[in-house]
Amino acid sequence: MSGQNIMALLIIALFMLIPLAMGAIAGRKSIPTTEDYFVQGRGMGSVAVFFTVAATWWSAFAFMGSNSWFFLEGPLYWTAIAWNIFFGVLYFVIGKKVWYFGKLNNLITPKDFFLLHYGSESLGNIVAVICLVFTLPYLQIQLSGGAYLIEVASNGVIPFWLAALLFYLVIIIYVWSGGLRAVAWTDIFYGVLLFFGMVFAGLYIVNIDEVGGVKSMFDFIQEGTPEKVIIGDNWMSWLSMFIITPVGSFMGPQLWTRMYAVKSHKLFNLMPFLLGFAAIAYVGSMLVGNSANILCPDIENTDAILPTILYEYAPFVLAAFIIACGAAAAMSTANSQIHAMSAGYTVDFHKRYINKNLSERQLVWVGRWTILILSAAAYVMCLTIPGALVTIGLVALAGTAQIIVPTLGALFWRRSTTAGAISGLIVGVGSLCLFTFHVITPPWVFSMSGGGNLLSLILNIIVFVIVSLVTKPRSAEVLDKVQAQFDDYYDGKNFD
Amino acid sequence: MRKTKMPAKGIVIRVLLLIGFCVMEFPGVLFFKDIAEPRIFGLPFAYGIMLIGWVYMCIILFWAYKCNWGEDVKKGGDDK
Repeated sequence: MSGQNIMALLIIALFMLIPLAMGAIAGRKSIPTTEDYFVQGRGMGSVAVFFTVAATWWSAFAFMGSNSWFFLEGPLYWTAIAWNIFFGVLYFVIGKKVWYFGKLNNLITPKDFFLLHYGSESLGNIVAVICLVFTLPYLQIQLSGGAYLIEVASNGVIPFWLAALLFYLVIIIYVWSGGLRAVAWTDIFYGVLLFFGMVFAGLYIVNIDEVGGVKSMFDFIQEGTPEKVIIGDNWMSWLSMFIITPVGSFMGPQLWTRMYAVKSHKLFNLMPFLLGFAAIAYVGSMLVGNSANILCPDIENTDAILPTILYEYAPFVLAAFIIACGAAAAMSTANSQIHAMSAGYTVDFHKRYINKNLSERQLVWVGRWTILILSAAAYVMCLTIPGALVTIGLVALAGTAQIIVPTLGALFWRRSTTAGAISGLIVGVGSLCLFTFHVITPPWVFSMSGGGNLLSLILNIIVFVIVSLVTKPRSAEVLDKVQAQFDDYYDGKNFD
Repeated sequence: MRKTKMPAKGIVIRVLLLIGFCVMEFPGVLFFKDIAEPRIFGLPFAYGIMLIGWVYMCIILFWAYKCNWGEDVKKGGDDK
């Protein structure tokens, strides 16, 4: 084993040991209740919230998949700048209200929110199933992306299967011991690595001699492949990603947890600015992806652009460090997803249908075992189901994005009904599956790339509105209860 | 659901944000989808124009934060 390999292994070991230490400390502070384990006792501070939301939101999809898209499609992925801002605005417009209802009614999962607003167990269960089913593939791509990066960072000393196993063992250990507190604390570490890793990688690569700076790079691309400096005809992808990516991510169970767990309402006012500002990190991905046109134009696995370039053109230790930052992106999303899915199963299904009499301590243990089982499922999927990061990610996000429709109905439209919400979700998710598995080709402009994802959401909205208008309104008891809390919200009551 | 009227400043903020999103998303696919020049900050047009949009949105979002998203500070649950 060479000196370089040893250095790389040391960097990876450090990268894995720091979160484990943080998890151990977080574990000492935790209390064995579901509220503490799953939503940190609703006491998450501002710094932790920002970093855990940003790190959870940015994933392997952002760190590696984005490079691939900039390389293959040019500016198409640049719509990410707008969708990051949109995500931040959603955190204020929807997140603050979700937080308020969560605080007043001790909500822990998305299903809890729908039970409160619609009074329907069936709707709650459909939402919970959508959350679980569509989060799993997104979890799988985090594992694939992260494991691949560790394999590359170790120069092949750690094979893919072992990298994935290590990746998950570390996550399981610290989430097991510290719950959401451990996840949030490690996300501060990952978030910093991720942000600076993305920016630094771009600035470093664009300034190496072969690329020669931003102007020189774009001159080269414009001369040889002019289609890669314009948006071109694939405008449906541009619009579809702008809507589906932030909405789908925002409606994922891991983000619901990050709305419920916030300590102070004031943070919701600031988050859109912070998240929007942080979008500038995509400049790094943009520079990396475009420079690949010069540095590795014939690359086959385009998701591997970043490690390929770094190992060829950067000092080995620096390359290993930046690649570890990429693994941080994957890890910070994966830990949150596993944790949130565990909360969903434990609170929504186990506590409600399997054993209603479990103590809080026992429920926390159910959550821990669920983490173990879900991680194992994702690990098996990672080894057996290959796929491009962005493609799988977009379908998974299009699934969770469907939940935005009944959520908006609950918060902004008194006439929305349970039947409307259920019908809309069935049509939306059903059509998404038909389009994804090519049973039906989306019609008209929606046949373009990304169109099926957007069309399924539009169908959901149409069915939701029509069915809501012709079916019985929600019960007066449910409406009066939530309206009283809305009145308090707008009067500024019960915030502290 | 909200029963009281949203303050004018709150409406202005939301309209400005909506305009920002529209400017960032629609001209790109309607008017300059095939345009690479003029360069902005050394970047092809599509990249540069989005960066300008980003600056605009950051300014609006910061202003929104500073003025409590247009809500009365005694209401909307903020800064009592």
